[in-house]
Amino acid sequence: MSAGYRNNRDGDNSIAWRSGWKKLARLWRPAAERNVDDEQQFHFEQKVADFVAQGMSARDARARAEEEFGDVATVRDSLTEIDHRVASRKKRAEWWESFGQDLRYVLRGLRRSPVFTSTVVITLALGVGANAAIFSLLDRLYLQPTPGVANAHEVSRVYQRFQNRNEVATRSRFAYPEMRALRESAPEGTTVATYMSGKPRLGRTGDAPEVRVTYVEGDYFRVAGVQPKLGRLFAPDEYRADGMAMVAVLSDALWRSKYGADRAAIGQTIDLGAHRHVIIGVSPPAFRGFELDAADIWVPLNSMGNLQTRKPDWYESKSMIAMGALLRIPRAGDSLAFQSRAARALKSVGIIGDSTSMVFMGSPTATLSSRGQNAELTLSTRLAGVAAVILLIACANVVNLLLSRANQRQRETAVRLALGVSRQRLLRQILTESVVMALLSGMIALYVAHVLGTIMRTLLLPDVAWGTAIVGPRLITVTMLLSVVAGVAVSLISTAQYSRPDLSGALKATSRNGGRRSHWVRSGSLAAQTGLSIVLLAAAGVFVRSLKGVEAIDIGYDINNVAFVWVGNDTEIANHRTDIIERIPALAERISRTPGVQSTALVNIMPMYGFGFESLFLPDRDSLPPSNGAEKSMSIVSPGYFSTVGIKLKKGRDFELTDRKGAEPVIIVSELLASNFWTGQDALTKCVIVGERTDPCRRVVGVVGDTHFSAIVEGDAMQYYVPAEQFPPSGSMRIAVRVADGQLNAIQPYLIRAVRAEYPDWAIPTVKTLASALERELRPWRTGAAIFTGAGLLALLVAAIGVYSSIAYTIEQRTREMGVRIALGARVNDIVRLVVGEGIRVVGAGILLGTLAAIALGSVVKSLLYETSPRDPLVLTASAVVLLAVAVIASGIPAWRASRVDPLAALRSE
Amino acid sequence: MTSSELDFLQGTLDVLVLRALSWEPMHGYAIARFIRQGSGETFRILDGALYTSLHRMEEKGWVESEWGLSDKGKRAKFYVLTTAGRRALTAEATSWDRYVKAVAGVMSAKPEPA
Repeated sequence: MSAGYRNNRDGDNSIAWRSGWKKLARLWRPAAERNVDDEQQFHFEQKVADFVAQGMSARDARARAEEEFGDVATVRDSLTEIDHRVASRKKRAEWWESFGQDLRYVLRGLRRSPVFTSTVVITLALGVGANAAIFSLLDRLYLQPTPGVANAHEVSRVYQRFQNRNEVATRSRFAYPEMRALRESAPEGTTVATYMSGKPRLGRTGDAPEVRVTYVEGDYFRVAGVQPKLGRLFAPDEYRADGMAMVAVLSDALWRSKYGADRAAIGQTIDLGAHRHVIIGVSPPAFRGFELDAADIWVPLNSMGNLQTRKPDWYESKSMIAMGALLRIPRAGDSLAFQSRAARALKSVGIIGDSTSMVFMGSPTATLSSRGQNAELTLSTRLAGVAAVILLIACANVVNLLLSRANQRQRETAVRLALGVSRQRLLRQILTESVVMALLSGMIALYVAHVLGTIMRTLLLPDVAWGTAIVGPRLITVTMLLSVVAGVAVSLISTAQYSRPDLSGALKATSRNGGRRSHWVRSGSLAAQTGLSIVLLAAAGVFVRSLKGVEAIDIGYDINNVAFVWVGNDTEIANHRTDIIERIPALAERISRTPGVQSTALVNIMPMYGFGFESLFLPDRDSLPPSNGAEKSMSIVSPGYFSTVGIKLKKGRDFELTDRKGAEPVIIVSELLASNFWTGQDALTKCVIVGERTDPCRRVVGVVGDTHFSAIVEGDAMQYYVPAEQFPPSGSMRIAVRVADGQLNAIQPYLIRAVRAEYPDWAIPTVKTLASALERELRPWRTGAAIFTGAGLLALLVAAIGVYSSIAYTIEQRTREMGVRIALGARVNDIVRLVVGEGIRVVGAGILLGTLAAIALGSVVKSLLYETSPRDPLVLTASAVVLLAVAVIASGIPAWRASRVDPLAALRSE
Repeated sequence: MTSSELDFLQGTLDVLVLRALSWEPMHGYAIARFIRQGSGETFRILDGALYTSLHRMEEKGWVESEWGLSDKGKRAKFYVLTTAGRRALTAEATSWDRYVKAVAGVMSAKPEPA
């Protein structure tokens, strides 16, 4: 209602339905007001006329009519209000009715062409499903709060970013002295807890299963905000660092599997190797700790101490950088101040980090492994990019499909427009159709997500305690939203031509001309498809190259023929079973008699599973030469070790039985150490001091090949070896076993049997191979290569189909032109060249753009590659050539068919 | 007019309007004339109340409206009874009939000897 109209009414309560300007105003009043006014006007005109006919004066008649009506203004308002309601309800009803019509029309259309429908639906579902699967992964890893933690927003983990050689690294594990420093910098009211994870055996026997134990210090469960499901959690004097409380809290899962959910479990004892704990409580089922793999048991960190000396070896250790730092900070504002204090505190401990390092608080869920960024996690974030590209390719493909159909339907559309169906209605039908198809593909996408998600969970991140099913309310919402957005976007792009269809042209013409605009959309989507395929193909190429590179790394050992055998857990052996330690040489002797075993030797540490360190001094220098970042590691070995594990002797000799206590102290060093210490000189003329500066200098008697230190992808380490006879190890020795070719797997049961035979009373045999250590490390490289290759091949296939269908469609549209050309004497070759040339031009443009995109995106995957440039020219060229070849073949087939067109038939087909 | 009076009138008015429309589609003025004449000028119903009743019943789905021409050739809004309106009229008319008979019965009855 216009303000002027209203004022007039309020100011002057006369009935002004006849005033001229009001008639004008009526023209732009909303329909409801207009109708009410018209109805009232009619009423008054009639009534006045009747009164006048009865002999009343016009003036009296009007007064009487008004009197019999009541309050005109109020009635008018209430009638208008009612009519508005009626009108909007009617509109809704009409909308639903026409929506129902549209839906029926759309469903009829979709049923009529099942091949088209299912192709579109499945293509979209694959694209959306891949993204949904990735979402389910990343949602659990990064987005959702740690399961079972109360007020999760208050809880965070300490991360430190620091400069590591030439790159910025992040760590979330600290040594215990650093933990003490962090605790001192924590703001008032903050709860701080430390923990580390281990996998001891559940029981005292050697074949007992491993369990995931979380060793906690500080009020860990208060940080988690967890109440015991049964019994109690750790008391302050139990979780202190300087105690020794042999208590344990079980996870709900372990309580169920091992104790059958029996309440009597409380008070019973449970053995973690040699450590015996009393069960005091059970945690609620939702809480599985802060690591990605679920904890089975929580015990106080102080229980990890030496059972005899009661002295914790982690307390002052600066090399045990394995503890996670968790904080519950109730006041959000305290967090920032803590970060700068914590950075200074960590720096003062001086293990890792300098003035440039910084501390930040992040997700309490541990997404960094103890060695830094978890390769599998990085891979899974990159997979999100792959999934997005696959969705784009799928969308481009669907655009092509929709365009083809739109062109086939062009006449039908023109007829419907001519028959008076509004464009708006047409657009609404198209949207309805796209939403229907999107919802269908969304449902299939959920299944795709379930399958892909399961594969990724088991293949990529098998150790993660996922807790929830892949398909849940969050995933369903995301999947359906993504489906609808993709579906609507795709159908809007492909129907751009509807906005201005040339009605008469479309009616007159046959389906011959697809329209310029649709031609551009079609070429664009084809180019986009090929371009995106190039990106994925190139990614697959660099990942495969990088995997080949990693597999070719020589870590310096004979991986395929060496196993390591040891007895029991190190601390247990080292500290209270000297009788076991003394029998190790006898065990080695027994093993060497086993058929298939070629030689045995002793070493204090299994390579790649740990490292030893003793200070080194050069007699003629104050300090050691700079190491350029190479790590130093010492091993204590017996004679024959190098030949047994396959380390090559480069110069001098191996240790001999004569290198015993009392004889001349000797040492063997690796080539890297020799060249670092005595560049350009003969190492065999030198000596090194190991241990204290006052110790005697050890003569270098041999130089051996370099070996890796702890990981497959790292620089060589500076290794040095001392004879066990001259440098007695503090714990039990490992037995290195060299077996005949191809016997490595077959011989392992015999090795275990040998340990049992030698130690019938107390045996926890461990057999490990370097190959299995490397296998785990190779896994992310292999998985990455496999997934990217799969995605690349899929993209190639989709691109091939896209090119084929596009070219085939173009040819179908131009059959008549072909016929004319052939009739006019064109040769088959010319026809083929014409059609293929057109397709190749578009594909070529796509390849060019894709190559540029691949170059631009290279840095994203750089951290996942080993000595391979993400912009490897060979890979980029190969990808382009492969795609081009596929495009030539895919467009050649329909072109060849076109060349066999019978000119007469083609001309008649109109 | 108090609100209870209005309620009473509203319900009654609805029945009267429905009854008027049960003969033929009518515009508002014709309905007003029908009721005035039918009651022998007894009911002095305000025209405004009548239109309110019509529009409310349109909202309830008892009547439908459409624009047409009056017998004098003028543009007028005609109301038509819907199936729902017919059903409402039957129900209301029956209960109204019972009410009238009951009142009449009481009015004509004589007290019986105890």
